[in-house]
Amino acid sequence: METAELTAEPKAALDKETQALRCEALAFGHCLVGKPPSELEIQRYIAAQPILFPDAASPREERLLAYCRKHPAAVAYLDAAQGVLGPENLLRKKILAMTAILETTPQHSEHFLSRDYSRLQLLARLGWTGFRAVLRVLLGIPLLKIVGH
Amino acid sequence: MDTVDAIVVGSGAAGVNAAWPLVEAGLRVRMLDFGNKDRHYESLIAHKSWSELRRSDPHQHRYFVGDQLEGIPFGDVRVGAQLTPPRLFISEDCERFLPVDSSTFAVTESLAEGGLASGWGAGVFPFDDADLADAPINRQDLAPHYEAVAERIGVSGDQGDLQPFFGECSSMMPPLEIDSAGEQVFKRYQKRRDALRAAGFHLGKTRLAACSELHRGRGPHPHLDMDFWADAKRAVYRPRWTLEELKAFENFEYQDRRLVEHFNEVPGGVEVCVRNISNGQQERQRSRSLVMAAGALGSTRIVLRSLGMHDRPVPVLCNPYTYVPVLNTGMWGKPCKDRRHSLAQLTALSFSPGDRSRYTQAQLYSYRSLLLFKLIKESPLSRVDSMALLRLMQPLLGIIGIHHGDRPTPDKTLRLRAGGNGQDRLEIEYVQSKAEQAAQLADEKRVLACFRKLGCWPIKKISPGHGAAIHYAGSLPMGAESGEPGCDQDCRLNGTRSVYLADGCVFPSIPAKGLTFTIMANADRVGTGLARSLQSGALRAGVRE
Ligand SMILES: Cc1cc2nc3c(=O)[nH]c(=O)nc-3n(C[C@H](O)[C@H](O)[C@H](O)COP(=O)(O)OP(=O)(O)OC[C@H]3O[C@@H](n4cnc5c(N)ncnc54)[C@H](O)[C@@H]3O)c2cc1C
Repeated sequence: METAELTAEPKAALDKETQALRCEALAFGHCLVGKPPSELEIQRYIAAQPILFPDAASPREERLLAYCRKHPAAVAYLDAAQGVLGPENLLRKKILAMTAILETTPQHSEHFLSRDYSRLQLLARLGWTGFRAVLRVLLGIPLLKIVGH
Repeated sequence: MDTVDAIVVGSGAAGVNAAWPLVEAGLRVRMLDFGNKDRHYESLIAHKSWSELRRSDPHQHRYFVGDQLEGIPFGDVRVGAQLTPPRLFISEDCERFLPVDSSTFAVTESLAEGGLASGWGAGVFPFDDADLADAPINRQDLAPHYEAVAERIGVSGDQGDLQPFFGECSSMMPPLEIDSAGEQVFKRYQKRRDALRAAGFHLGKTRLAACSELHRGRGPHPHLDMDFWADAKRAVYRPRWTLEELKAFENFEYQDRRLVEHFNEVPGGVEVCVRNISNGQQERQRSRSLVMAAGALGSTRIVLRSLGMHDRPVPVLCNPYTYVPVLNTGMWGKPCKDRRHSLAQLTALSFSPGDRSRYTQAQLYSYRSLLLFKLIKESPLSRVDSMALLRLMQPLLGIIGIHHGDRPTPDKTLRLRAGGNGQDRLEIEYVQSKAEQAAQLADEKRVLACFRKLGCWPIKKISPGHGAAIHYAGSLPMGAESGEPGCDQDCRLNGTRSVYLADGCVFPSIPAKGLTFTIMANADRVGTGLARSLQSGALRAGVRE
């Protein structure tokens, strides 16, 4: 999904940096809970930046972030590959910040709260989730190599 | 200013319990304390269960993540993970006022009203004679004080397999309800009990400083799973509950915003030099006696400064600590009760077969209320996959915290160094011998093997580094030779007439059991003994200026 579809606010009104952060918030939120975050959550994400990430991103990190803003569907793959190849990375930290924001919002709590499953259901879900996670790493590594360079 | 009968420094677990018998005896007691408080978060947290708050409170991010996002740990946060945003006031201002230099030992001190126990895990583990073997006191000396403190703070637990190691407690309330994960492990233990006990492994419900019934106006514990965030019904013990009770006495006075810097003995008592933090003024306060309860490191700092013992090495101890995330297979496909407490569900003592005096203490926690994103951070998978996996696995996730005993060696030392800017700093060196490390590894292997038999499969072992247990002790030990920094059996500081020590600094060695209940009982003993001396005139009568 492209950023244009996710953005609700008129872009002209926003300065460039804030607009970039909005796009990030939308991309990460969509990746994590399958729908765009609310305006309040976006604002919390933007407000978190100077506190959590006061330093400028390196050129490589900026390239990855820019790619995620432009191609939100790539977020999970780049994140997965980065998790294996270099977990201490700005992209992953920023997605984690969004995770914390969404986890502590009642609208998204069900994505984080556990549910009771039978043994078989649990096994099936674990199997599928594990398979998807491995697949994302495998597809993400070549993508990361291309985007990161 | 009046000369009071006793000045107590610090309002933590040690301070309030040392003050109690003095105040009860009718003596005039003044407590000096830095006294930081949480003025921010407490009022935001509604009296609801964790899951209800998660589903309904639109302001939850304020306390779960923190207004300054202080709950999102990007650093290597391995010490005091339970210190959530509403608890962070506990260690506020310490870097500035209590500087420590160490590359081998992580220090968490407190300048809070109620001290570190404003966020402690409330585990209560009385020592027995073997645990006190290096001290000039025994279990019998502490027994009446364990009873007095248990009644004061409210203790719950059961008479299970740990009873022989912890002893009787006449005021003990029934245990808090354990959660579904704890129940599964406990059931398995009961099935394999004989074999495990024969292997030196004893398991029971954790004895907690928490009220399962209404006790002194507190409790019963509501099982909201909010214990790391709030103090619902004041069921879990915090020293400030005792402080509030003390404040009701006319002969007790609490002065906060005071940083005690040093003391001098003067005719008729002690002069205490204090910085008033509100106005920056230096104050001198007089008292017939002084009780130091500023935390083991805090008291040691003030004592070494007062005795002019800069650069002099003294011992430092802290229980070596390892924690182990585990998968509790007993929970596979089992429903989870929402009603629960967040503290340690079960406690195990695991004895070394060759040497019954050596043992470890392990506590089993369930992982839920500290939120998923902190675990997601540790996972190498993508955030979204980690989220999905951990959400599925969460009912199975537990943490086993393993504590070992600690004894002094020449490689575990603390020194007070004069600082360039006039502010001195503690310098701590803590290095374990190869033999200590090997013994710990073997003990951990043994205790984890027993937990495996109970369905708890370790995922990885995390050594958060020395000091991480936040159980400091041993720096001014009881029974030290006169002339050495330390104290006598009554905890009177060597070389002084009327200065007493009431916190962890007096224990010459520490067993694997958490020491705070014993700190409190000993503080009660020190206060009781001092009250007797003051009343009998063994220390000169108080005067008004
Ligand atoms: C997260 C956590 C969990 C824990 N869980 C357990 C557990 O389950 N079981 C257990 O046994 N132990 C546990 N502990 C350890 C326990 O909290 C401490 O051992 C205990 O609180 C120490 O009490 P204290 O009164 O000796 O010192 P502190 O709690 O450090 O109190 C010191 C007091 O002195 C004051 N003070 C310090 N310096 C000065 C000064 N210069 N001038 C004026 N005032 C001063 C401070 O304001 C404070 O009031 C835990 C600790 C933590 C942090």
